[in-house]
Amino acid sequence: MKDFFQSTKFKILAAVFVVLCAFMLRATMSGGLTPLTSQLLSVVTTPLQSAASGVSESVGGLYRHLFQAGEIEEENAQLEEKVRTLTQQVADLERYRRENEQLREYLEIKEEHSDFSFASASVIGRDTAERFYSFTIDAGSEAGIEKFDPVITSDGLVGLVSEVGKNYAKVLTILDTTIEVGAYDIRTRDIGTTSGDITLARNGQLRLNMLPKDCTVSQGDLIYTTGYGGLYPKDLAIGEVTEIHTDSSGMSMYAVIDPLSDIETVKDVLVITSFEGQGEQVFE
Amino acid sequence: MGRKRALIAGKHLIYCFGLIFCYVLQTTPGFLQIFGVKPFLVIPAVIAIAMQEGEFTGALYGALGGMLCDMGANTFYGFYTLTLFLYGAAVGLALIYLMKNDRKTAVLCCLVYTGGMALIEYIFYYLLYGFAGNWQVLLFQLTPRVLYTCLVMPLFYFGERKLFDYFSRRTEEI
Repeated sequence: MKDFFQSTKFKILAAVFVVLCAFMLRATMSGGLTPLTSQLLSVVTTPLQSAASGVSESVGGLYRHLFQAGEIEEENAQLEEKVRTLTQQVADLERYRRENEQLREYLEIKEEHSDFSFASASVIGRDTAERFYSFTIDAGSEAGIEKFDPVITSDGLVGLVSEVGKNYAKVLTILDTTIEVGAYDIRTRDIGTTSGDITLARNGQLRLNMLPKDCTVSQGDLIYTTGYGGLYPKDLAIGEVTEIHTDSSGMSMYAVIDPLSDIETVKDVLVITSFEGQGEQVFE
Repeated sequence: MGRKRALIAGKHLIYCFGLIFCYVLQTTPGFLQIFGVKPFLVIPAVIAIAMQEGEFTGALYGALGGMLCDMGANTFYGFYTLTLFLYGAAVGLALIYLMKNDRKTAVLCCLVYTGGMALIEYIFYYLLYGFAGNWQVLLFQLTPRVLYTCLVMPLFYFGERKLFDYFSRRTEEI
């Protein structure tokens, strides 16, 4: 063991250790700026992740098509080639349909919120060490995405960007216990703050906290963002109230919310790169 | 001499692409996911390399594997890079002075690292913040992930041993 600590190898490893520490400190001090090493590695990994997630997504459909082809093969072997061609066409049509849907959703949101600027992205990674369904998308600073940009689907709010690389970005979802969003009940106008909850997150739900004791929020009410704070735009749909409870202090109420976006399995998202009032109160 | 170098370079190229491949699979949505739990694939690969190659190479591949893990995880940058770097060296040294190079040791090494990391993650990301019901993260998310990773560890151990033996044999032949 003593030999190792006196060897050149040890000195090299010690030098590498110091360099890694320097990278870590720089990343911490730059407030989440993606380190050079991650930027370099992402050049290789992001296209591969994109391809892998595409394969993973289409595996379900592929099995279905293969099963159908098998049935047809049993009935008539001569039609096998035709089925294969049709299957390919179906896959193409499915891809066009998805693209079409995405563009239509984009147009609808754009018509509703003319002040929004978007970057569309696909989910390419859900890591083993993910927190509360956080994920990685295939667009980054090159697409104009910045840290803290809100992430949505046509159904509603999904989360916000926590880290940006050149061609990728990491997204924390609204189910995360560290993410708080100013929100209000569109029917009663009661105001509160949504936040993740470990127990509820397992069912894909979150909490609307700090509701007044005399609030009239009820099951089925829709919850929207207030826009206060400048981090999220006003009037983005968050979810639907499923339960109302008195909180542990007995001083206020909280509601359990089902997000309108399917956060656990979301595949395509839109990142709002700019909107009216962005960062007004947060960064002042 | 030239062929020997080419063989060594080939082996390290396989290691590098192997780690990247493991990272891509590890982050592929739904891949190997059972009841919402996915195993780490990069960590067992790094441990397997460190067990065969020793402390120096183990540490360097630990750093590479850690950088990949840091890219996917929502932890502060360097969490996995530094720990896997040190652990790669530690595993290499432990194999020389303390432990046998076998499947049980591989699983034990994997358990110690993933278990330790899970505990650190639990304490610093959940327990200290006092989130209600934080024990559920430990019980339903972190512990199953550790066990699942340990379950796939032998595959990496045997795979890496075969690869290492193959290249050692070829190098000796020259």
